Amino acid sequence: MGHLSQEVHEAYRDEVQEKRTGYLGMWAFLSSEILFFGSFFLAYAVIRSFHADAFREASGHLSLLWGTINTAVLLVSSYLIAFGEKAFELRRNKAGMLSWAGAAVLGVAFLAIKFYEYGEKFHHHHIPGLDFKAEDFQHPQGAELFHFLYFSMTGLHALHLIVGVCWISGMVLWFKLRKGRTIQTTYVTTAALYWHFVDLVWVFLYPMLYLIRP
Amino acid sequence: MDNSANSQHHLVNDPPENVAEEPQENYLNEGKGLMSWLTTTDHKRIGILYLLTITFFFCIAAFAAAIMRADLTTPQGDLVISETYNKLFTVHGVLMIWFFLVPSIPTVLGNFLVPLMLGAKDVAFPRLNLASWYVFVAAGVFTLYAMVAGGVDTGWTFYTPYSSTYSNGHVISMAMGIFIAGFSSIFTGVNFIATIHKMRAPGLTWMRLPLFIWSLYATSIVIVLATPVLAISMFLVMVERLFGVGIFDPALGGDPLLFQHLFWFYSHPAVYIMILPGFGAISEIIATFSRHRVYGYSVVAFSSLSIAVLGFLVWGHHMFVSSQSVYAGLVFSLLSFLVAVPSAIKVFNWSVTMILGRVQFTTPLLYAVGFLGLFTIGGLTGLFLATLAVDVHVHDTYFVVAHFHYIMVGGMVMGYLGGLHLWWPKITGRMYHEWWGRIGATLIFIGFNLTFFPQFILGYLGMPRRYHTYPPEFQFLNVVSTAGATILGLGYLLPFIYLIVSLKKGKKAPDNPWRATGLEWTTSSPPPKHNFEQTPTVNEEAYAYKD
Ligand SMILES: [Cu+2]
Repeated sequence: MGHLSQEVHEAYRDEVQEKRTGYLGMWAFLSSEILFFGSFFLAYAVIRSFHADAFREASGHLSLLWGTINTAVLLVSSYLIAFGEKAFELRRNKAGMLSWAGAAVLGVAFLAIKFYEYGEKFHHHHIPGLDFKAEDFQHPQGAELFHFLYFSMTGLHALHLIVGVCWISGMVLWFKLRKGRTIQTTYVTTAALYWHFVDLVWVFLYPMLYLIRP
Repeated sequence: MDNSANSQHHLVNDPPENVAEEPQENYLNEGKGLMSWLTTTDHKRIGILYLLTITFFFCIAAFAAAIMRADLTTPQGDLVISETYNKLFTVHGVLMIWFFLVPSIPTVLGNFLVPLMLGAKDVAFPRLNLASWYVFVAAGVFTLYAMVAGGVDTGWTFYTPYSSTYSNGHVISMAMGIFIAGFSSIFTGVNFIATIHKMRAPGLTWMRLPLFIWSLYATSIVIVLATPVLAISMFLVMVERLFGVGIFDPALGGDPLLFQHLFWFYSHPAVYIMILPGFGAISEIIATFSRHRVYGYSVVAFSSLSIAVLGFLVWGHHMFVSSQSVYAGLVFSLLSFLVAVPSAIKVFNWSVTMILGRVQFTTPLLYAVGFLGLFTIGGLTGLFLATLAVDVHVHDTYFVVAHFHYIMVGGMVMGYLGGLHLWWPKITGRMYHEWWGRIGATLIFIGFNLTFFPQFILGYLGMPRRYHTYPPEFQFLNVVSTAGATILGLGYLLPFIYLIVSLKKGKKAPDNPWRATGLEWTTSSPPPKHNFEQTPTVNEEAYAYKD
């Protein structure tokens, strides 16, 4: 592994070049990510245009409380990431690591709540395709499609968050192991960019899924 | 725009003249054994891995086409049954598009050349580059499994609800293969964008970049922005098939047109993912063998970008006969016409470059000239199809088949083969046999036209695509087409043979056999592992030919 990472280093002329390349790579990747989620947003818009009433009704079957709590959790985590990033920049590594560890914990909390919500859906037999209790809805066809989009979009988002949590906590551990040495801002900023992106997606998902209730 | 005489590239690492006996250290002999290849992060070796992989897929896809053409020699289709025929054109389309054309120039020539042309040691993210190959192979495994397990009969377009509900084939596995292949494309695209922005040698400004780099830059943007949409549309088809959630099925409350919008939002830009790199290779070939700077360099460079942008706005021309609104149809028709402008600019500028320069009719140039003719025919017939009323007449006929083969095979494959010949000495350190090369290029040109020109007529007369039986009056043209395909096949076989032979028997290639400009020609053939002994510095424009 050490051998490999040395080789990667050799691709660059200097640290500045490596840093800028890392940022740009992340931005390019995120632009691709926007289109991943964008396809779902399009599907949501089209299907909702056919089933507006059903979407409103089905949205009422999501837990507004947990959705709102989760939104708050993610927003605070984003704040911690930004705070930590600034701390690393000022060489206040301890503060940086603490706030990043906090962000990772909040990420886990979000996932725990999300999976609890999924569990509730199983409990109520609101699983599209597999176990969908049509009697619960006045417009079962549209409600099932809404639930399908709910699971797909929040699932894809949760997948991204799992990657984010692993990445952030991995970096905190790594910083801890190489205590005393300077922390490369490239790695910090690219990870922060990713985390903010994942949060930003949720900021759109929350109103689309939770707030259109009657 | 020539600079003063002293502004030549410094040939920083010309090897001494007398080392011919000792094999030089280069990327091919540095590190031995299979493992050194499978764990390499060297962009040049990854390019070779891709070359072998996509050649393999090309052969399977070409074989499927051969069976289809043989079947079409008789009106009643004596060779295979309808179901087999459907599976053959599906596998031909899927493999040719996602496992040959989309990766071809970017992952083989692009991987090999982008860092060399930029004066860099490697791409921006070498491990991501290797990962893209593994992902690509995994995608291929899913696709081949679908093929071997019994095949898929949906066509490469996977239209719903047929693909998601009614088809009996192994749709999920094949859609999975395409889904995974998308990630491989995205990795390559992200890598190229970061590399081209940030890894250029000192002095290599944007307006000094080779046009090949410009075209791959435009391609990468399209890859990064379009491919995720394909991935999601394939994902939704898989889910709909697995769980019966009818996002695309009108019977379940879904919308089949949503699938077509998502699919073509990727698959029209995919045409440019396939053809833009071909443009890049053609620019290099024409400049090299006309010994002249590409006329209107900046216009050619920016036309690649404008094709990339416009390419995102025309997908609806695949849906003129769907229930898309007439007004949407009008707008998509108009925008499709606009794409012809930058494409035509390129063709004019290449032609003018050849008029201004001194043309040497070498093998790569023959491919480039073939490209010009075939791409022009393909592009002009594209305008027929962009015209609403004409499209209603020729929609889903062989006219469409002929049109896109003129672009894809006549354009892209000619560009790929031309590029492969141009850079073969650099890649392998060996010269291929020039006369066999010329014969091959000529055979391919003749065979191609004989195969596909009759299909324009067949389509115009009303022969629908995707049927393996047809009225007897179409037999003559179909037999001509199959005869042409035989010549075309022979034409492809030739480079396959003489290029392999050249590895053993070919003359040792000098560093710059064509006396071309460009940083890739300043290093040895084949290049050393880290490309350049010293980071080169650039102080002149691209294609500064002085004679
Ligand atoms: Cu198109």
